[in-house]
Amino acid sequence: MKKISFLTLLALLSFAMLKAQETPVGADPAIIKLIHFEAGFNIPKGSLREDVAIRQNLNYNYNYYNPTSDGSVSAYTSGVLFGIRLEYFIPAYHSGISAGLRFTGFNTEIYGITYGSMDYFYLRYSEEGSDTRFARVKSLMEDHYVLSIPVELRIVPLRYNNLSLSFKAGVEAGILNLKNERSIEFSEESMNARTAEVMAGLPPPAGNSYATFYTAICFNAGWEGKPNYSLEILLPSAFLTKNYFSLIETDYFAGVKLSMQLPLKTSK
Amino acid sequence: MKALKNLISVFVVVLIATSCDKTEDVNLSQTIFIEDPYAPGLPVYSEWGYNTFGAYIDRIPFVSNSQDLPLKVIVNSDTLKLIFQGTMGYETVEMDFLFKGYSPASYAELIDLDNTLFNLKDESCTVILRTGDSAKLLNLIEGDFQIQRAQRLFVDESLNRTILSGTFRFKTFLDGEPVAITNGRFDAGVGYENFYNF
Repeated sequence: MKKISFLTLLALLSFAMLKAQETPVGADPAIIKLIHFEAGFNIPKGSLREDVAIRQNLNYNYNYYNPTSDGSVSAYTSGVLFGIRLEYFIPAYHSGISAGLRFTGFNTEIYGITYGSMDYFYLRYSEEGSDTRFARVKSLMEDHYVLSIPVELRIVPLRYNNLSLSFKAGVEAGILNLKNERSIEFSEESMNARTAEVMAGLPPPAGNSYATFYTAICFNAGWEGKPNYSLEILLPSAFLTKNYFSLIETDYFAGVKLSMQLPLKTSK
Repeated sequence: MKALKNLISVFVVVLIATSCDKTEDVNLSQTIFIEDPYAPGLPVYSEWGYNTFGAYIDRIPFVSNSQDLPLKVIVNSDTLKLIFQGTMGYETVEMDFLFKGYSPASYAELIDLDNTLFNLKDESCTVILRTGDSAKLLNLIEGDFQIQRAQRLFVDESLNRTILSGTFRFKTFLDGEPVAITNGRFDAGVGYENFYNF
């Protein structure tokens, strides 16, 4: 969180240090409308939630001659995003503000490290009296598809010919959950009949509230007034809603985006 | 020719026997040692059936290893014997706890020991320490052994084993000097391979 605050402060300071260009007497600064098309990857980093009752597996290095193991079951989350934004860019201030619509799809998968022919882990789904029940699970997955509205502030402190460097800070709020689903693949087909019972042993499904705060460094290519292309590196950013994922605890997310900006109209 | 036929038969039998997927129980019967950050050298207390145990004998960790069976349960007459075998430094050490008056017929019946506390000073309890060729019947000053959780484990709806998890600690004499065995913990599965009733 300190890193995020520092980067935001840096971005805002850059903005504060910019001076408006001198404009002819009586003339208003121009505003350029840009439409952004973006696509990218969003990778949340986190760890398996403690209340997901999974027994650790043998380490994949295990064998009779190297009989040490501290266990290994992994969770991996990835996301893809597509979006469109409308930006009002003020060249005199080298900055712009935008809002739009974005689709993000997250997939979380839990799987056990394989050993020999073993490609499953043990999920505890019932503890009744003295009886404890495990299921051999090949993978446990959670999918989230969300439509959100991002609002971004962009500052372009450096420009050289058709190349520029910019910083960005944004917030995003989910407006529609298109999918919030968990699925399980058992090692034994006979356990499919008990899917509902096993899933009931998991933590409650994730909430539907989705909001993030993020910052990015952008490398842009293109002349003013022409289509521009950007590569954005999403810096470690935060989910503002804590229980969006039911299988993992997220620490932060990072990612990369490609975008194309088309100028619409210059107004004075 | 007959010898060759016999050899082929033996080979086929061995091939069939070894091609059965025995790796399915490997994870449940082997040791998963996750170190306790608050007790360096000892496994963390767990109730997952990780097949570990550990204790400090004075400052020296006595812990399970991955080669020896960490726990054997022997029922003989009316005595239940829990044998913990592991290492202390480079030495193989075995600590046996004997409890009179308990005689479960099968490993499934071990759940009767759930939440059971034994006072090791009681006449019905005996502790033996084996190192190398020597076996010492310990004269206890004080101590207790608790099975905090005994649970029958079903995997894919089939009974697989009974997991015994608990703690122990006691004070005794070793070579004439008082010694404390502290932070004792165990978490082991008991099944066909390590339960004996004879």
